[in-house]
Amino acid sequence: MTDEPPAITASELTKTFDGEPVVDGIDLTVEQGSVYGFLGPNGAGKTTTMRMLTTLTAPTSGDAAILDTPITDRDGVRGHVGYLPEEPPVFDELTGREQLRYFARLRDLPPEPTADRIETWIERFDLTDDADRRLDDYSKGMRRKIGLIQALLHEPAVVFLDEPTSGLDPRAARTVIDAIDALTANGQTVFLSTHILSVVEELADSVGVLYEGELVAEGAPTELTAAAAAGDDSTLEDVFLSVTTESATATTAADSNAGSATAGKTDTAATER
Amino acid sequence: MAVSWQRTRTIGRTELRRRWRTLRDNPSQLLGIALMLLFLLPAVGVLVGGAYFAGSALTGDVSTPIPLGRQTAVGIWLLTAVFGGIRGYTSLLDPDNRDGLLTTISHSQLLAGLFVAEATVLGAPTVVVVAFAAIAFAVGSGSLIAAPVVFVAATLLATTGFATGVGVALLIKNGGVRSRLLYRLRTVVLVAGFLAYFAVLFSNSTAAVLGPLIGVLTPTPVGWVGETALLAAGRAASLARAAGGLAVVAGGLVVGAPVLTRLAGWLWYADGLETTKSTATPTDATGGRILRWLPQPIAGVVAVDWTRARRAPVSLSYAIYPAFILVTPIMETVQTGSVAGSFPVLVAFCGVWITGALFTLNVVGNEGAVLPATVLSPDPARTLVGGHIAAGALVGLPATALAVTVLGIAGPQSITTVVTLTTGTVVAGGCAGPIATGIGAAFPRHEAVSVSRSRKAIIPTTVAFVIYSLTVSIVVLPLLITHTGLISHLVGDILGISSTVFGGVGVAVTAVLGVAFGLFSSLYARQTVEGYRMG
Repeated sequence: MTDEPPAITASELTKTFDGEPVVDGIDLTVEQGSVYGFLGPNGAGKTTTMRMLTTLTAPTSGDAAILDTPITDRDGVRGHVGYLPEEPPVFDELTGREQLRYFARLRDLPPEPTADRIETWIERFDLTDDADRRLDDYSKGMRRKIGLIQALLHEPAVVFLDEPTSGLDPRAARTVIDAIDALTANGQTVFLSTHILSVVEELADSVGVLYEGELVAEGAPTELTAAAAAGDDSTLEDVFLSVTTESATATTAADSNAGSATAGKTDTAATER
Repeated sequence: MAVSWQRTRTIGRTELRRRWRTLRDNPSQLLGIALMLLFLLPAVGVLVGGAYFAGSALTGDVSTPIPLGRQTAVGIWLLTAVFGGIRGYTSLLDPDNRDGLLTTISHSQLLAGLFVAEATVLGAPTVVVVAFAAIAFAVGSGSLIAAPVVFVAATLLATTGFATGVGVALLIKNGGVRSRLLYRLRTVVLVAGFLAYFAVLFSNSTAAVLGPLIGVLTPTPVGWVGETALLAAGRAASLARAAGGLAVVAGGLVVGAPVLTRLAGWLWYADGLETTKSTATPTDATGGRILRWLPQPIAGVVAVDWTRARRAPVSLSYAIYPAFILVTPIMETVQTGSVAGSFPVLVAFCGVWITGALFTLNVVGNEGAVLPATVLSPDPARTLVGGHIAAGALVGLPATALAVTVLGIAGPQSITTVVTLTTGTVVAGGCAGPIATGIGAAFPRHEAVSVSRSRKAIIPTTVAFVIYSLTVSIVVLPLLITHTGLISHLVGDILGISSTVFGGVGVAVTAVLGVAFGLFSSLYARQTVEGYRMG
């Protein structure tokens, strides 16, 4: 037991658009130095949650904090986090190297070690030959690599990654997975949203499954798979399919018996919430 | 995170580098800017010369130098405010890669960097021109001290004017991301503003419109700043008002900076309204009733065309260009209160031109990422080409025919002339779409291009638009000639035929040309779609 604050905490975090909840009162605690796998079908509210935690969108209600810094303190949170959105935030008119140097300067990173760090990352992601080409000439995967380096360049305590391996070839995806693994060894925390369940299964210390804005299951991958109804040989995919299907069924039942059911949540497993 | 000069400079420099590279990649845009600068040079000469003569006049017998000085100050402020508003709305406040930047730096830092880029691109040349004008004023007035005083006053006015304009743009944009009504009306408001601007410009009503505004601002501190120039030139003016004006304007800049920052934060961190699901479908109203009469696949293409146009009207902005030739006749009609005989003819021409340009000038490329699915659908050639033609014709033809008929009846033409002109318009309009399809298929554009600094859309190529415009002009020419009063009467007298017969001949020739070009072009478009292979 340490006195270190959790990397991420969220309490009743809610976001509504036009009165409709997109993220519906989620509670989260992610310990430092861990990888949190954030799963959910398309439109479940994963990106909105990440945007709230990175201060890009204000929650409608509820609280959240990064290393005890409330997300209302944008300057404070910004110093703690690195964020790779689903669409890599790069400028088409710059070269890969220029893009990274630009963001390093914006972060006030010291020039010498940063330049070396940029070169190391570029080499690690096999971008050496393309680093001086403009980003509008890059493939989707190459842009993603640059976006990822940009998010990691200042060695943030908490890294939010939205589909980091999407569009990458197997070798590049492996490099990214290894890089994420190395981050936790360095004490950094990774909040990882992805559809590629094998990545979560391999990396995540804990997993949360979001369905229609609600956190319908949470726990260590082993706990979730052990508790799932699919049996001993179940995988995270089975868990994902199981809890989202059950939640969908519960939601449908709740819709047809308005007021008589607790919608969205399932209590089939001890670890589910 | 405090705003630092180093980061501000980094953002500004990178913005400039990006803008230059974008410009370098677009020779036509580069040429356009070069031409604009060429046209601005004489204006700069006039400004500097005007400053010299203004300075000279002050040494003579100008009876009311104080009102003139104030009005000049207000004019500078208003001009830069309007310019700042336009720049703010169209580009400055929509930075690219916003999420990446806002998770790296504060919004105030970003705004500062964007302002530095803007100051370098627009402010630096302005400062040079103002410096020359100030020196010319000083030479003219024979007072050396006038040069720095006028320079400081004019620069301060321009800066606050620009910042005020950006502030207004921020207010409008903030309203747009929070009010559903404003969001829906944005296109209507923009088009109305655009038309009003040209109406004022072409009707020489600038003074009449700006007069009251200048009148309101003249007795305010903005106007008082103008008295500094008079004082510096040795003319009688109020030192207290001049100093007060400078202080208030400079103070406004200091007070305004945090206000602009707060407004930018509200805008950039706003949720926006685009996230809301749209429940409206093209089959909601009249469109739905019309589409029921079309074969299902073609109706599908029409519905998608209309929906895309409604949600991204900017993608059809090029189709408005022909309407510019109507500005002068519209102004003449408004001013004289009567419809000239040539007006319905010009409306017919523009209507036909626009009808064909609306959805048909890029039948293949306009599909974008959907193209692979489209070409694999059953009978894609008939569906795509027919659907796009129908989408344009169903909108353009009724509107043009109605406008031509109403204006024709209101004008001096006979009913028979109106009938033949309307008939010819409908025939030509019906052919314009098919004519455009083949040209668009021969010169397609598949990728989105910047239609403004912050918006991209797949629009037809310039080559396609020019060739189409020339072709449709050739097709419509017989109709136009035979319905132009003077020619109609002249030829009628020479050949001994009535204007109705002459008009009928025009309709027939236009129809023959239109059908010939239309058939050939649409067949080519169909073959292109049928034979299309990806890659």
